[in-house]
Amino acid sequence: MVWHVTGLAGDHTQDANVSVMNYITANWGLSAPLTAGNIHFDTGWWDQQWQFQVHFRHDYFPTETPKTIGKNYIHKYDDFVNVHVFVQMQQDDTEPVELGQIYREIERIVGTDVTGLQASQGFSYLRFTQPIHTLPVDMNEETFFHGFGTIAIRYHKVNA
Amino acid sequence: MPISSLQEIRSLAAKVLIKDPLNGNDITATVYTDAQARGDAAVKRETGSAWTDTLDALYPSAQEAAEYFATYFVLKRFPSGTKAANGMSVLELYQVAMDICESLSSSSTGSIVIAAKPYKSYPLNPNATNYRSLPAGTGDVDDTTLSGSG
Repeated sequence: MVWHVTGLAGDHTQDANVSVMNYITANWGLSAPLTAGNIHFDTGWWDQQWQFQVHFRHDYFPTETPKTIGKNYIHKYDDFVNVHVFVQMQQDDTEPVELGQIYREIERIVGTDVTGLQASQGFSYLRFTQPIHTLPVDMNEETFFHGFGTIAIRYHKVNA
Repeated sequence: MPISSLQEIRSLAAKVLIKDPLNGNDITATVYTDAQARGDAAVKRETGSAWTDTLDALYPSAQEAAEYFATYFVLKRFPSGTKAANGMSVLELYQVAMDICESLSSSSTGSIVIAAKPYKSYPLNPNATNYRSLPAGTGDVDDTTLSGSG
């Protein structure tokens, strides 16, 4: 009895946030200074090193729902990946335009093909349930900006 | 020719867009070349050497110090707590660069190699033959002569 993701030969071999991160990175299309090489894509948190950082975190409660009945029913997973965008700019109290450019690029990639990870990861779709938006910051951290959004993922699994 | 590598400074600083706080203009290139010049000058000042010989055995260390100084000059524009790509804080960059310079200024660019060989004679060389001025006692020498009693 092993888990199978619908459309795949077996279970996932990597976490959902890593799959989404790799997908976004591979399809990144912005030019300098916001090229993929200039942005630190990771699954952690702001580390005070890179000026532009995008972190994909798998830290929101997923839900599981039976799609069929029986002993080995089909499990429907509604999972979430939180996207955190961090930009540091030595410009007082002014939200840098690069922040919005990164938001829009991520939304463009996700919106271009919501089934972009179906073949490789069995995701029926990925879509923003909460578009990326900038969080308020303290005045003493006015050169540091943090954006946040949530991508929803749906996939199905069966244990057979 | 600069001592430090601009590419290395950019990698260390990990800041790809630096704006003028007053008008928002992109001043990235200016800041990096200026920091490179300041870093090179700091190494020359602290070591008392112009470091014109790239083949000098100590040149890579001077280069490293210059790059740390230059990265410091870039990152000090940003808020406190900002770190370089290698995780070093702004103050650590400066301190390490100073330490390298101090080490360089107390080192010699020339080297003297002293080859030491073992002592040839006993007892400083315990493995050497034990020199004896007289033949070993085989019975052909009169013991009374040696004792001086005759």
